Amino acid sequence: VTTASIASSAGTAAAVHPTALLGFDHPIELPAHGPVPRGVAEDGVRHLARYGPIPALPRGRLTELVHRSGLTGHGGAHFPVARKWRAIQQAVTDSATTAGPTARRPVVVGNGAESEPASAKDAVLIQTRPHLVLDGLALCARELGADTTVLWLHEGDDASLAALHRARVERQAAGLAEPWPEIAVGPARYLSGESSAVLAGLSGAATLPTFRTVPAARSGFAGRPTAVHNVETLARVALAARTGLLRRAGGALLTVTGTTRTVLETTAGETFAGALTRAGRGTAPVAVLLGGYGGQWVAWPRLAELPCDAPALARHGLSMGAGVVVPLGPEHCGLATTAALLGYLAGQGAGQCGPCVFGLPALASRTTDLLGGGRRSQAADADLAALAGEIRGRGACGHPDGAVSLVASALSVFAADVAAHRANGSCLHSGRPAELPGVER
Amino acid sequence: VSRHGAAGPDWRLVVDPVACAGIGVCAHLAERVIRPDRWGFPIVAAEPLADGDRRALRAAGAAVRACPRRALQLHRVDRDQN
Repeated sequence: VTTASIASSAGTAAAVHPTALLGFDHPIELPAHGPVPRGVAEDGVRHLARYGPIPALPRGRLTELVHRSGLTGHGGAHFPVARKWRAIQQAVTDSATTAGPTARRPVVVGNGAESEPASAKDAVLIQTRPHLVLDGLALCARELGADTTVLWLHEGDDASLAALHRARVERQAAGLAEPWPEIAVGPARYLSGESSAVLAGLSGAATLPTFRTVPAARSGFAGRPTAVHNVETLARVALAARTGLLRRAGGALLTVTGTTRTVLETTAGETFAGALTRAGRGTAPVAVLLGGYGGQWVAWPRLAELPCDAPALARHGLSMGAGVVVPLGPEHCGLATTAALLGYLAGQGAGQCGPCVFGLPALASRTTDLLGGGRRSQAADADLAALAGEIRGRGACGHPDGAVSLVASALSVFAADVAAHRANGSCLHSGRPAELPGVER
Repeated sequence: VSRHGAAGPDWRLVVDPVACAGIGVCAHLAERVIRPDRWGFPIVAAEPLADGDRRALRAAGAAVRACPRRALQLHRVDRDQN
């Protein structure tokens, strides 16, 4: 097989691992801090051998396959991908009716700006399977009729940028009929990966979340219908296109985080207990922080036997978020950890919206007050739920809602700890917060 | 047909939280539908304003026009999406 045959439509039969669709057969262990060490990128030849070429599908077929698989956005929001595409197709139809031949063509943005310090799965995916991400970008562009594609990264994501650039050059040399994806780099800040901030950054404005009343699917980059997709979502689109590889949206890339970060691909039906064991965290935790720092605490007995599968979790009122899993052992205090996380989130806001600028530091200090016992602790306990309710839904982006979800879940999952701390400032555990990447204790 | 039996559309107050500076004029002008939070930033009624509720609509319109940051907007609500 030569690189040139990436372009051919008649490839060899794909040798796909029967269950791990992205091909991560073993967990990948990484240091807790710092950039993800450069992975061995699969080149075009090996990519073709594993997955075969991009199939030629009639227009509309991929939307149908993606819809049937139930694929949702793996950047964290888990919005159904097919629904986003249908909104874009509708916007294109509407604009063709009113604007005729000057109708604006859609834009597809692959979002690789992985802001969560606890997460490493996007960097691992880009650096080891760049062609799968680019396949997804090209397929999405073809399905939507987009003539412009962009890959969005954080400043400092040098290894990811290099892997994507090499793969891009390889594809151009192979003569693939797809737009040349532009690579754009945003500032290395927490909210630089938020989709309205990405669009602002691409338009030349400051890379900050913006207040949008019209969805990007109707009017995004330069007023064009725009799809912003996380890179793992794009990789899964590439799988869905190879009919049969992604019949349903089971499985996700997880980052199991503590004193190390372990990236693993869960297989359809695999439970959290199974995933944690495979990640080398054999001891049952007390609870798990699920989704990310703006995610939610879930008591381990509730989560252990649930599948690592976004649609299944949604049926239980839980979200997989960005696939971050932080197990909390009995040696650490969940409330103290929450207070530390709230301090981190308060410091990562864009400083734009009042309820976030004032609300998040208030949430952090109230939660810290709760730890100490006495009158301040009781006052904090009485006020926290009201405070959270006052912040929820009032930012331009979802950042304050993440902090609210974190604190609300902590008050419920760690209810016994709240009672002990409030009574006399004593902790049922060590009193110490868990050590987490980027978070000061 | 709205709850008040009028034929016009319903309206929803929307705050652009990036533009809003928490000056608080809006909550003074339309206290029935806007209340300040503990830091002085407006919390708008979650329920749409019915077209028949003339007093609330007039107050909301005054608040929209008076906002020194132009951060307050009235959006039409399509009934079938409501």
